[in-house]
Amino acid sequence: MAAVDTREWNERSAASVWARVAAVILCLGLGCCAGNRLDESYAMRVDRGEYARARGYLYNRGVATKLSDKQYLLDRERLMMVTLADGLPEHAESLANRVYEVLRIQGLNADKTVPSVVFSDGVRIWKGEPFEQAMAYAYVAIQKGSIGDWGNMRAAAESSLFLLRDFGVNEAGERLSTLDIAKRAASEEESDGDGYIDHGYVASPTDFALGYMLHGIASHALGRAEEASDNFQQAVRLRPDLAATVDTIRSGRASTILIVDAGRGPSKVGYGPDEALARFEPRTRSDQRGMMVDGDAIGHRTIAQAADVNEMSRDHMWNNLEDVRTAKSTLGTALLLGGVVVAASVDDDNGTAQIVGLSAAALGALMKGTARADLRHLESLPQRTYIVPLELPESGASVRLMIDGLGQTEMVLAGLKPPAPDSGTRVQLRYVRLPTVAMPLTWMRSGEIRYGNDGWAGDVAGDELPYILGGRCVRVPTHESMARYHTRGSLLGLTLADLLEFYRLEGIVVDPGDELEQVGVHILEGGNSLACPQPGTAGYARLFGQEHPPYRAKSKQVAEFAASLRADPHVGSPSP
Amino acid sequence: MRIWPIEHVAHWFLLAALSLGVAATMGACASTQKSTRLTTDDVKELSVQIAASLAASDFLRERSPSSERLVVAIDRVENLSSDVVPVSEQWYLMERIRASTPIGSLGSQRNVAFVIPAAQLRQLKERVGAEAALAGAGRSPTHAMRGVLRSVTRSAGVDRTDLYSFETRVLDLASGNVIWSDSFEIKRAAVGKQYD
Repeated sequence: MAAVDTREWNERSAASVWARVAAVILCLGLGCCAGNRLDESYAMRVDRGEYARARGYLYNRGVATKLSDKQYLLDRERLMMVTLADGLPEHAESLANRVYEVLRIQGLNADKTVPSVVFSDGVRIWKGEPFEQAMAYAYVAIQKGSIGDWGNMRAAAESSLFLLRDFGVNEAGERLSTLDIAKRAASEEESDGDGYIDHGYVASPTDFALGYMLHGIASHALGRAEEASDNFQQAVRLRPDLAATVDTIRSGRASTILIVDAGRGPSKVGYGPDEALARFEPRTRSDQRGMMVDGDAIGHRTIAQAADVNEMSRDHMWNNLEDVRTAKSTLGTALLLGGVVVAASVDDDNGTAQIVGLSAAALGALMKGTARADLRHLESLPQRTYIVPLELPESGASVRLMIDGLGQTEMVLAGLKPPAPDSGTRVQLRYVRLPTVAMPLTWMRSGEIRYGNDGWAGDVAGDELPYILGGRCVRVPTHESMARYHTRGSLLGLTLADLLEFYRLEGIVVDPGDELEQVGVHILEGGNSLACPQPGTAGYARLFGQEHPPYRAKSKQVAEFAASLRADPHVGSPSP
Repeated sequence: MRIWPIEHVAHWFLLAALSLGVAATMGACASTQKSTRLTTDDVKELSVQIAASLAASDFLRERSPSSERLVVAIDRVENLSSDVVPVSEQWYLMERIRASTPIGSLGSQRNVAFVIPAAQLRQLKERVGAEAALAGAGRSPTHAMRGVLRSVTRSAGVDRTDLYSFETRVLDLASGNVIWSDSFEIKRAAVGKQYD
């Protein structure tokens, strides 16, 4: 009897060893270490706060032009996010409108059957997981709020509050994971198609506190107090820590509201046989750290988080489960169960079953190697979002932001003023994207305005001359800016037409209104645009809070005139 | 084994071909809407209805060429719907009302002008509103025409319906009284997964 037990144990051990060998081979063969489709070049620029370069990279790489292109929406969302982060919401307007329009299309992929999707490697038009869509609606709302279009901000925020599919909890009371749902789908759908995925849930109200907050802010700005109150209450119910933020906004004392994003959003990776299933993995860890806000004129406060994107991405309610549906249809129930469920859950003693499972998965993978999950995702999403209400004095203030205990996130926003009394609005919205870096960049902490610009009425040393002529002024050439130069004794012999001609010779776009569809890189960063970011944004801090190399003229005329100015700053008539 | 007569086979082929043709045609006709957003046609329809209602209103009908001059400043639509309506489209709707045939022909008959701030006043308008912008341009408005778009959304499964209500009012700027108002509704339905 003992001999038999030993032989059985040896056979089981051998089977277990073979199962492990098979698992290793399968992993190597199928790339079990899940890869992802992160656009590193884009993500790296976003991390470093180089939003204009990220935008330039996307345009240079080529942006999908037709809705039928599977990257159409993803490209626009990326562009919208970096244009917003760059402090240029007017220039993100058409992008935001298009993003909204596509998000509102129902059944965008209705004619994309599972086999056609699988065998053509992801021909589905990317629309993102539900949490990505909610965030995209939120950015449309932020874009609208940043330009004071509160009605449309309200509408976009409301759109982010769609119902979710709740598949409930397991026997232990824990929320079901995507894998749990895949198992249930595979085991329950033998005779019922996609019944479990399509009908096995309860439509549940969203838990998107950020959406409620944005809706509340828009309603508050529109003077719809009751509606604002309802939305703020929902937000506080979901995130009680937001109560203090809400109180400040509702009190009417806050004239400026910052939406502050920080950290890297989660990355989508594949797992299971042939990476047929997908999940999101954090790139910046979640925590409960608050945002420290201080400044001479505004005191000190700590603000709670309004959204944790890692948390959203983990919850099955915020995933569309298309990977489960596709995996089941292509690998088949038996293969899905054999490959994922058996290999993932059977203990060591049952090595034979593991071999069966892994073999099934391998067979499935060999037969249908294109069954892998669609790993495209919006990599520029943040990990977390804060909403910071500010009570700014009329003279303005420098505002210092930093996530509690994380010095590398420190950013100082200079030149932030409340809305002008004649602006017709009692509150303004600004979007701030904090770079994700190991050490804070120089411009993040400078808190200075080193170049005269259209967002700052005050004087800056050296701004008596345009940047292209050796000075430090990058204001759009207008009668006002020309008068400013003249008042300070510069360019006295030059007319506005002369100056405009210089800009034309340099190929610089002098009217930012001409760049509403596609804005270029600012001349301070080597581009040809004069579009001025909004004060109180990361784009503004990066552009005007650090030194840039002197301008290098492209045309002979501008080079010669700049040289004559260096010799005699009060030079008379130009000869452009 | 039974052998079908050739005419019998031809008959079935013909029937099958006809069925396929009908099915294809029905499929093409049965194309469902994929979005409940307002379309350009909706905006045109709304503007026609509003213009007709306004032209037939008491407040205009009782006027004559000798009546005191009326300048109605048309402002853009206030969007309180659950749908984003770009600013350009908000102006487009009001501009279509102004340019519609019944309204356009009322100028001399009723001594009334419906005006929209000129393009060069756009910046001013955004800051201080249409009336102030026009007043600054020497076209002092006596009345204002404003529109509010609202909506109610119902969704169940893959079905979504939005009922849009567009309320238009003309206000006497001196008294603040509403001298005309009307509302118009448009229902839009769409079928399809919201996040597929």
